[in-house]
Amino acid sequence: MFRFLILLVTLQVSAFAQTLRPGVYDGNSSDHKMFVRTLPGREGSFLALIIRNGQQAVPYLVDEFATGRYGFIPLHNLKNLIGATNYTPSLTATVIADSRNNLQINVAPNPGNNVGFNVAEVFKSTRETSPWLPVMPGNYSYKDNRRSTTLSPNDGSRESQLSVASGPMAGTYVLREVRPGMHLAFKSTLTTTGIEVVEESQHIVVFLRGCWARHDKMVFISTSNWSMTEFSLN
Amino acid sequence: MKKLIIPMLLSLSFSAFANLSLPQISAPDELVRGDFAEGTITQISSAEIAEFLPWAQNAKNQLTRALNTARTLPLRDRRTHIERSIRSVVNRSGDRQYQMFMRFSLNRGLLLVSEMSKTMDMTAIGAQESALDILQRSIEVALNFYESDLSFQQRAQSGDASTELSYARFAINFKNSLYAGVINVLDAKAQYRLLYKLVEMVNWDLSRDSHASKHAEEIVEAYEMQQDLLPEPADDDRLNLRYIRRLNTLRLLSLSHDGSRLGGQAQPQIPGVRYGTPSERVTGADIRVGSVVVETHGTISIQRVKNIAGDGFLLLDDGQWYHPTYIKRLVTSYDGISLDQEVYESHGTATIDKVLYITADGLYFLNSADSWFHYSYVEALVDTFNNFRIGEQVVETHGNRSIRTIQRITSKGIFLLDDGTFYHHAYIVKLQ
Repeated sequence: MFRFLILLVTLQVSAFAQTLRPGVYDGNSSDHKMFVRTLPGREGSFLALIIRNGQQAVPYLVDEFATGRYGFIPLHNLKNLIGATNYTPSLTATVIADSRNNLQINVAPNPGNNVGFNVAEVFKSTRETSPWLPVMPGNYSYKDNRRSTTLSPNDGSRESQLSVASGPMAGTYVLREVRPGMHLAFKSTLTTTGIEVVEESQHIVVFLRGCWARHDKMVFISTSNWSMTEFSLN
Repeated sequence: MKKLIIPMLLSLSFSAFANLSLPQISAPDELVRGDFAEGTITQISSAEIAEFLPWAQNAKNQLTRALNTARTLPLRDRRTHIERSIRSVVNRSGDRQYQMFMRFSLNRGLLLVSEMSKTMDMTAIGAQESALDILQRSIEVALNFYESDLSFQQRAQSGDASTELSYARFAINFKNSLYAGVINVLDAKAQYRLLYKLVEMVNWDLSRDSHASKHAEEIVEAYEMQQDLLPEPADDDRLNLRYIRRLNTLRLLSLSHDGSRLGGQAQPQIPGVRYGTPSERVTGADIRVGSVVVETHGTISIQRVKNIAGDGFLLLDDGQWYHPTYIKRLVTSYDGISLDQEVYESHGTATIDKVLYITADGLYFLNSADSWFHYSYVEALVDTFNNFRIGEQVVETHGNRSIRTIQRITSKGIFLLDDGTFYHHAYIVKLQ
């Protein structure tokens, strides 16, 4: 009887190959998260962000290859764009649902592209459906709350000004949204000819609702080594 | 890119082309008539060069200035600014066919952005950035194929006014640069449409190259796939993404600069040649079987000599016979510049680059530029010039009389200052 129940449950899970949904997904440990949002203009595809240990984060373009099967393509900052340098997925995923329509994403490394994370992991859906925000102006703090930053409201052209008072990231930045929910941060320097903006951004910036932490977050991701710096909204 | 002269006498075919019946490849409609029409090929005499000098020099300056100025403009104004500059350069070229590939690249960049506008909402996030990226890439390719009027005039005065236009080399250059821009247009409909047009244009160029049969497989494969696909995107984005994946399998899209196919990542590869230890470099006085040489008749590729006939013709890796006039021996140094050395090239985009290969008659192949340059356009880097030295603060009198720090100096007195701009020494003044 017990074996029959196991078989029945297995059949029920495997029968529900599913379409991915926006939301937050929990990984193997409490500080492994996957954030998923829609991508207008590319129906059936998504943007995703995988965060591990609160220290590393990789943004992805997620394309559907077959029902319930997806490829995760790592994204980088490319001068004035966020895009891929290699369109071979570095991760593949299958999405299944249980009888209650809770999703489970089984992620595995894909040969041909070892950029980003290279470990298999299972992510499970949570109740949060819209954790990924376009932008959150306000005052932020980081590094034990002793350093502050201020993000101005968007000026209508998808640009915001960010001022970092101290520390290794001190300076003024222009944040520009170049993909839905993804920004590039250009450090602004003043010269004798006027304000110049450094052309190559070093970071991708995202804004995440505080469903996974105590505060709403502004997260800087360095695509050279995938390290992340969190700013908490005060 | 400097064009190499093919004497009129040697119009014979040097290679045994396979007897392949290639499909009739039609020109993309947009390049035959209308705003992006490319015109026809003509020859030009040295006497007619002079009237083009002012325009041709201004074309390079105008494009370079457009790229530099755009960096200081708000994002919303950059595309308009660059497009205006491109159209000005293209319009002034009018029906003149000199520097044809430069105009090809500029027209095609405008065409691709026009196609973007027709297939996607240009107010969507990332749309303007993608359009800018495509325009900038088309300008960079255009500048790579820019040749100064002085060099052409010198060749014309030596008696050789004709030029061979390598459509395949242009096509591969254009494809390599613009493909990277097209695949980062994330809107599925727009990406499909742009990729379709890119394949169409590249295939047309390959088919009209004088060595088209060398790419027969790629041409036929692309032609047949495009017959199978619709030129316009589908309403269903999932379907568009499937079509995009099909197009991405085309061998045409993985061709390298020497015409060979790349495996995996699009990194340029020279077949059979690995740049590395001195023992792998050619140092012999004579060209022998096994020598590494560069052929200047086709796609200017580096190959090994497989056989030498009694009449002097050489059989290379690609299976074709070449007259010795078109074969250049590689050396380790020329005019005081050696392999691996950083140099300044003043012909293309005016950059500092590393020398990868040198021919016995003074052509340098530079690493990042991925192109050949005549020695007259290549300058060694030095520490001092006219009592100026690296690290010294000076005043530049060409722009805003700003105080700058010297970062690099060339042997002919070109200074790279810390504003990222190159200045002639006549515009550099010492601080009192």
